[in-house]
Parts: sequence; structure tokens; C-alpha cells
Amino acid sequence: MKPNDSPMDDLEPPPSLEPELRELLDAARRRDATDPADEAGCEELLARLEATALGTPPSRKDDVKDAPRSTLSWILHPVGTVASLCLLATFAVGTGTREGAHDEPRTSQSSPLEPRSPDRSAAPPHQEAPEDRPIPTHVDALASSASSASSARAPVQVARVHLAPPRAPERQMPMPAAKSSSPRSSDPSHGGLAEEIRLIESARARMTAKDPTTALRLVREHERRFPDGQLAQQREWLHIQALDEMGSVKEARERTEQFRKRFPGGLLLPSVERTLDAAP
Amino acid sequence: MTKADAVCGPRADFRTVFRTHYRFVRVTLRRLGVRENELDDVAQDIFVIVYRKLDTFRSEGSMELWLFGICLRVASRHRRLARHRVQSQEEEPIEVIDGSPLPDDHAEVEQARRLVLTALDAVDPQRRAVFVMHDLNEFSATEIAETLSIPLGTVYSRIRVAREEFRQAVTRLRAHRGS
Repeated sequence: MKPNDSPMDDLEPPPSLEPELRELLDAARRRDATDPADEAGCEELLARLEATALGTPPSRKDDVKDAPRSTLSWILHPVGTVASLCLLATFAVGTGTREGAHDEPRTSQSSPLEPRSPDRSAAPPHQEAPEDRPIPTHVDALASSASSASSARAPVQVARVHLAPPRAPERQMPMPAAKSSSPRSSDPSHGGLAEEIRLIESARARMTAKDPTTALRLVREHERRFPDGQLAQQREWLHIQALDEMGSVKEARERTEQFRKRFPGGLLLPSVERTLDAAP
Repeated sequence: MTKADAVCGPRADFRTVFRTHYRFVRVTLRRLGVRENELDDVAQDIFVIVYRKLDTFRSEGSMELWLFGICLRVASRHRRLARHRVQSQEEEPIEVIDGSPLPDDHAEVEQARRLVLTALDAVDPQRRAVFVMHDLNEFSATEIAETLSIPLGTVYSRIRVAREEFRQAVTRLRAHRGS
């Protein structure tokens, strides 16, 4: 029999993990940080996402234009028009009779431009396990589309993904207040994550363009404005690469050592270490 | 803002988030019990959600915590949908913890990871999530409590019980490997 949660919750934090288990978990994390399988498909998946889920043009007209020519020409044919009207009428009657009888998603009738109503099918019923309760991470209305996406990645459904208007404010659950004190937070007064991303992407672009001086200026600006930002690890990695590129190997090594101390389990640590391994 | 801006703006940010957190998502899904051959599909589902919801992410929060919440929810749903598969796996004998040969420097850590992932399967799913969040992803108990909407004391007790389940599973698996 599996042990259950205690009838009374613990009042004290659990003690530190015993060394043997800690060592085991650390080893597993080292593997997680270096497994090439978790890097290899990155660009491929991004391309796939952009080609399918994210790549549908925003215009509805384009969707019609891109529809199979044979279907369109059949519908536009006089005989086809009559048949289409009959089919539509039949379909409308069928829909009317079904309404209220079932609570199934009606994807074939939904316009990608119509606002998404709260998807109750995605919200877990009350009797579900606590882990399935809504999580304050704004994901409650999404899992159904995600699960559909894995079973049938239909273009129409995908089009709804990014043509849907922003959700109503009441659906946007706030992040917990305590997050504002998180050491990893960005300062919203400085533009938040969007600004972080702009700086880091610009620095990355300068590195690609073999301009480490400008890249260094950008990462230093990021460091000044977002010392504990969301992209601190990426910034440090770029910083080390820029220093290495400019020949400041000693400084790059010091920075790597700081990185190791600051992000001991960091997923970018192996990449950072590889940067220095390649240095003369 | 034009409709094109609405689409193109978030897309640019999305690419960075995707590249930055691709490994994190895969690693997290694996720790939550998604099988290796299903990782790509589930990760794709996750990033479709991320794309849609990126503008609702609050920059004062932790991106990794936010992503973990999405992973947890999708992995949970995925597990329910694949319940019949899980049940058939439960009937199989415990996975032997060795596998394809690897370079020496990777073999040991790969063995450790396989042991950890197999042992995690023996932990109750609710407690597994808390254990992964706390002892592997190193989120604070307060962050876990807020993300899962459970009291802090429940987080503590789940960690404690999950560790015991995990410890027993590790012992069992090591004995099985040794025999």
C-alpha cells in the first residue's frame, strides 16, 4: 500500500535531502543538462511550429484563397451552389437539434475570428485530483487545444490559436503576489521581459555578426537593468562568449566560475563550459 | 496595434522563449512521466500553449515556474488520455536500469537519470509533482504552494512522503539490478 499524505499537514519544512539521494539527483540533473537529445530537435520543432501552429496568416481571406481549388470550384459551380445550400440547410437543422443535447466542441462551425468563450471542457471537474486543479498559470483554457493538437493538428484549429482575440480580463488569473519578490524577477518599470528579450536577442545578433564589442555593451546594459532577470543565464553565457571572442580569456574564465557558483544546476552550464573548453 | 503586429510581435519573443526553454520543457516533461517517444509531441503542445499565452505571462513572475505549470497540466492530461497505455506498462515487470552503451563519461549520469526516472514512476503523481518541483527543479516551497494552490504545510508533507516513496523505489530498483 502506498503511503498517503499525512492527515495533518507538516508545520515544519522537510529536512535537507540525505547525501546519497542528493548525489543521485545531482547526477540525473547533470545528464539532463547535457543530453544532446534535448537540444537536437530544437530548431526542427521550432520550424515545424512556425510552419503549422504559428505560421497561419492572420487574414481569413487567405485561408479561403488557400483552400483546395477543387472544393472551391465545385461550390462556385451553379449545381454545386444549390447542393451546397441544401447541405448547409441540413447542417443547420442538425445543429439546431443537437444544441443542448451535447456539450461537444463544435470546431467545424467556429470561426477563427470569433471570441473564444471560456472552454469549460478544459477546466477540470471538481472531483479530479488536486494536481489537476486550475493552476494559476493561465493554462486552464488551453490544454484541450493542446491535446487536440497532438491528436489532429488540423490547420483550422491551429488558425484559431493565434487569430483568437485576447482573453477577457477576468480569465487572466494573476500570478501570485509573492512572485514580485522573486530573485529571478525582472523590473517591470524597465520594460520587463520584452525589454530583456530585446537586449539579449540584439546581443546574440551582434555575436553572430562577429561584433563582440557591441554584444558586450548590450549584455552589460542587460546586467545593469536586470541583474536577476529571467534571462540572466543567457546573458552570462553571451557575456562569456563575447569576452572569449575579444581575447579576454582570463576574464571569461572568472565569469565562468561565477556562473558555476550562481547556477550550479543551470541547464546552460555545459554550454558555458564548452565555450571555455574551446578557448586557447 | 494592427492584427499583423499582434501576430508578429509575440512571435519574435516566442522564438527566444522557445530556444531558451526548450531543454527545460523536455527535461520537466520527462521528470513528470512523459515517455521518451512522446516527448516531441507533448513539447509541441506545450509550446503552442506558450505561444498563445505568452502575452499573459507577467514579467515579475518566474518564467520557469510559469512553464512548469503548463507542463504539469499538459502532462497530467496526457497521462489521463494515455491511461490504458500506462496501465499496460504497470503490468510489466520493473524496468531494468541499464541500456544502450554510452561514452564512459555519460554512462554513469545516464544510469543515474534512468534510476531517478524509474523511481519517480513509483511516486504518487501529486507527490511526484511536488518532489520534482522542490528537489529537482529547486523551486521554493512557497512558489510550489502558490503554483499548485495548496497550503504550505501540504507541500511540506508531500515532499516528505514523496521522498520516502522515492527512497524505497530506489532501494528496490538497486536490489533488482544487483540480483
